[in-house]
Amino acid sequence: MEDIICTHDLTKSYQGFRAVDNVSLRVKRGEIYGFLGLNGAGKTTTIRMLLGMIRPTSGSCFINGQTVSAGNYHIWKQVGYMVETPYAYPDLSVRENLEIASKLHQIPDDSAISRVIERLGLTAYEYRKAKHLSMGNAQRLGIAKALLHQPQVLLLDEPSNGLDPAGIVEIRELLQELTYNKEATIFISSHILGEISKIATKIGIIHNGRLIQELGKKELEQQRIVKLLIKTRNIKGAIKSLSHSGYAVRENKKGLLETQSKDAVRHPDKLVKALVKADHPPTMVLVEEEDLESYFLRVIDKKGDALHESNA
Amino acid sequence: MNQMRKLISTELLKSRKSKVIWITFISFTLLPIMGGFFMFVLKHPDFAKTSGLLGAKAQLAGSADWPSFFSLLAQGIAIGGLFVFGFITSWIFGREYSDRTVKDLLALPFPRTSVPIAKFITALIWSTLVTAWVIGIGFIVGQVIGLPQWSAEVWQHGLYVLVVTSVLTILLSTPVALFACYGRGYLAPLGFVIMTMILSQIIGAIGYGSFFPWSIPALFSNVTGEGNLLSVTGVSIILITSLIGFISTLSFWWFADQNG
Repeated sequence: MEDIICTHDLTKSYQGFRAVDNVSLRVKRGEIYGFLGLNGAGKTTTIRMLLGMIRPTSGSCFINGQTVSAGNYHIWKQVGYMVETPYAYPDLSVRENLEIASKLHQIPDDSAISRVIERLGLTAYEYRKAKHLSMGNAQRLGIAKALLHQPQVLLLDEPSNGLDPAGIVEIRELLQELTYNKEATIFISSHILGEISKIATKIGIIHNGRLIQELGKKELEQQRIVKLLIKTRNIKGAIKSLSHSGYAVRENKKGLLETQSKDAVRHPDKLVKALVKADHPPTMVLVEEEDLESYFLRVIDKKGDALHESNA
Repeated sequence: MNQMRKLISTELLKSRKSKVIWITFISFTLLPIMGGFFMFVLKHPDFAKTSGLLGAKAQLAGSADWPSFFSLLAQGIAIGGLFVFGFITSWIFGREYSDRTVKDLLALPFPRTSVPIAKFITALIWSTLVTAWVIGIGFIVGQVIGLPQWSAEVWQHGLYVLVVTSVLTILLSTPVALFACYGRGYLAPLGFVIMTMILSQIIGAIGYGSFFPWSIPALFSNVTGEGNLLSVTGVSIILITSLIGFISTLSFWWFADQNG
């Protein structure tokens, strides 16, 4: 499948400080790429370079196989974007703001405005001035502007910011629908990791300007730690008997038995049977999967340490 | 061309919906009204005597007739226009940074420089309308006061001076746009406008006004009382200044990193 969004050794330096450092990433058609990073990690700088708003110090960006540059403006016909907090012209209504976006994107059909207003749930606010919108509705207006011309490529910076839980679900479904029905490609940066884990098909983690990991959903599932947690009345005895049965178990800080043994996680029933046989019946058994948040923190912590060591 | 027309229509919509457009019209309306008041005072010396200091200042406008009134309006446009036209330009460009909407104007399917060009055209339309408004109000005020020496020749010459002064002053607004973009808002361009106004007075006073772009429209408007002074050098200086402002603003949009 072809790469729709691609960067090669993308670097941006500000007075010697590398905000983005040799980032090479690829996003294929129909993928939703979750771009994760802490504040100041380089997410927005990368998105701005992808949109040609700032020039890379070195490296290059490609969208639909074409180099991103100020002169290559035809590529933006198929690109919708929202960078950081969306802002609108405060004295103009929602509809007027969208009319401006429609003219900027050379949309001949006015029905696109009504369609996107309805799709984003802005009908009740259509004639309200943008300065009187709530943060959530201002966010919806920003997304509406990005989707107005039905782009094939979407670059969204923190699209869930300011949305209420129902709004987050709504936008998630909308984006999934776009990739499913219209084969759109979405590059989405966020710090709401739970949201990214629900929507992204591929994840890139950026830390201190470097892309420290890029992995697909399946790879992520393989790399996430899955533990089996067991509670018994006699922890020491249970550890002894499970060790005899060949399980690598230990007592964790919470006083629970913990094992990451693949066999135990896949077949907890076998382990329970062994415990019952040894007269240590469990009072609780729980398979705990590491969530994206914990995974992300583990990865940046590990890589961060490695980076510090290599710099030392 | 069609895209440029659409871009200008978006700029006009933004301008029309803002309060700033009314502020510029109302503030510049003061010029013909104040000018008319001076003429009225000059025309009625008894009132001038009772009004004290104001009457003495009104003598600066010369005699109460159409040529003096036109001259007063032209001087007002040359000096006040620097601020009003500069304010219009700084708002049209600076608001995109203050409202943080500039990022929506950068990755679009046409050359990025089209946006500042559309903004310059909008500033030109807006400034022209304000000037036409001032001249129109001035005409009405002059008629109401009943100023003497009205003739087609006087009117033609007066209009010629007003139009040329306005065009020269409007042309000097382009560098303001660069300050708005570089300073990412209104403050830097307004500071620049005020600075040029002060410098135009100082440099004009020391006798080098004909070489300082922002003094040239005032000299042409007969602020010194030496006639409508305008040399080829003066026009060239204004055109070069305007071109530098125009090209450097376009270059900023094309080459500079847009972090706003």
